[in-house]
Amino acid sequence: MKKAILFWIMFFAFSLALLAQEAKIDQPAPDFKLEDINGMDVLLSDYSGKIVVLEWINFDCPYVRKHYQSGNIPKMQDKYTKQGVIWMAICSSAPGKEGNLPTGEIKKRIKQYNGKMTFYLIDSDGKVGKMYGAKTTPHFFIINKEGKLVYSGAVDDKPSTDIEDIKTARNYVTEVLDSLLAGKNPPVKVTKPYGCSVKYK
Amino acid sequence: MKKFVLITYIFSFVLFSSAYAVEKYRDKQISIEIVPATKAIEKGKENLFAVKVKLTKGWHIYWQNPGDAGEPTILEISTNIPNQQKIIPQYPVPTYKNTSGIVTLEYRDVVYFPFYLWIPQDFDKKELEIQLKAKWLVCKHICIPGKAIITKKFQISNGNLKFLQNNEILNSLKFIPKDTILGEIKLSSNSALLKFPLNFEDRLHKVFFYPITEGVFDLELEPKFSTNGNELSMRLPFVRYIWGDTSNIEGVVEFTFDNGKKKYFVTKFVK
Repeated sequence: MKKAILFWIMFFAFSLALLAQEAKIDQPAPDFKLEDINGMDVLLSDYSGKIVVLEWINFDCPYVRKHYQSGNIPKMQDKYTKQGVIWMAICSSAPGKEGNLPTGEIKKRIKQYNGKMTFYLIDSDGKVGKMYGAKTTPHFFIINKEGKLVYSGAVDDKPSTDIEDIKTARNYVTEVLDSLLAGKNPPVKVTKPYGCSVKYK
Repeated sequence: MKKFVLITYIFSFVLFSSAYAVEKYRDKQISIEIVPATKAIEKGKENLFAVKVKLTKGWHIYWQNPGDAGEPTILEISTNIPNQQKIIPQYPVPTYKNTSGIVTLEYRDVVYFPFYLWIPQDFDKKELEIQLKAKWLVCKHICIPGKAIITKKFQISNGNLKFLQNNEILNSLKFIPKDTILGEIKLSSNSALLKFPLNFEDRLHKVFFYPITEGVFDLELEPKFSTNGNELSMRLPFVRYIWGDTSNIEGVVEFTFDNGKKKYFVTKFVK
């Protein structure tokens, strides 16, 4: 009897632990470890005390290309990493699917677009993407210095592939980062992510 | 030299005009045109037309709520009928697709978006001109955005034309939600309880809800429904990151009966 009770206690504890692994707004951002394109293991919790941007990426998606070819996202990466923000671009495209590129090709594209992300991480089994609920590329998540997830959504409010739209768009990511850097609460918490679907396996 | 300039000018004009006034849009993934349901376009009556979209095998476009990814297909009709407001064609019920946890509401193969046009008896033009502004995202393993302006002219019937019907358009009307049901909504922390009146003779087998309101419901989880007399209750779980307006829920409800028949209704909920 005691064994059965112990089993159920352990079962519920395990279930709760699994549920806790799901990212939610205003809750501690779940930790993860992923390898970057230089073969280095990157652990989110190593950057506690820092503002962290998670950007879901797929260089072959036209919505991602809009923001890279225009220089919009690379400029944001440059501006905010210089202010101590850790910028993690994460690719959850499964092997054989759109956006799952060889390391050499990824490095070539980053150089071509003048990308300034801190890390480009590979999540080809999609576990981190699903833990955070990443649906599109791009899809942004922002973690504050206290380690809480404070933003999920789009880069801006113009869901198009037209580079011209960037000029008149409201950029949510810069608004959230500027307010966090100024020690204020972000003006938005959740917006509609737009783009291609994440190409999970 | 003058001749050359003139020929170049005429050639450019013709080329530009034809590129602008497209009667039918076509590329490798998609073709779009305006088609009438009947050959005779008549004054003093409601004429049925449709935007016909044909997709190359494997490619798809999206419903007005695309789901977790993709972009809605936007269609807008205008005409040369005086005082005619812009018309949004009706969207047939989409196909539900779950790809590794990402749910999309799609159209594949051939899809008709019907719309009705009332031509007044005193309409003094010989031709009815319909213009369609279309914007879409067509996807397979990659996604390609597109837009087009399609203009087509139709001869107004003088009564000599036979009343030929386009059965494909008429059949497509089966997938258009007709009436609107008004219901109640109660919100809890992680789901919404939708209630609305029910009045069917056939026994209900299954209920499915396609939310038109985006960013509120988790499309991956099937709604749980129960009936109590003439009332149907449906519990829908919220999506993890809600960005939509929970105070104004609209959607299409699909009823499947034990005999296999299906019915679609637009549903609107107020708190």
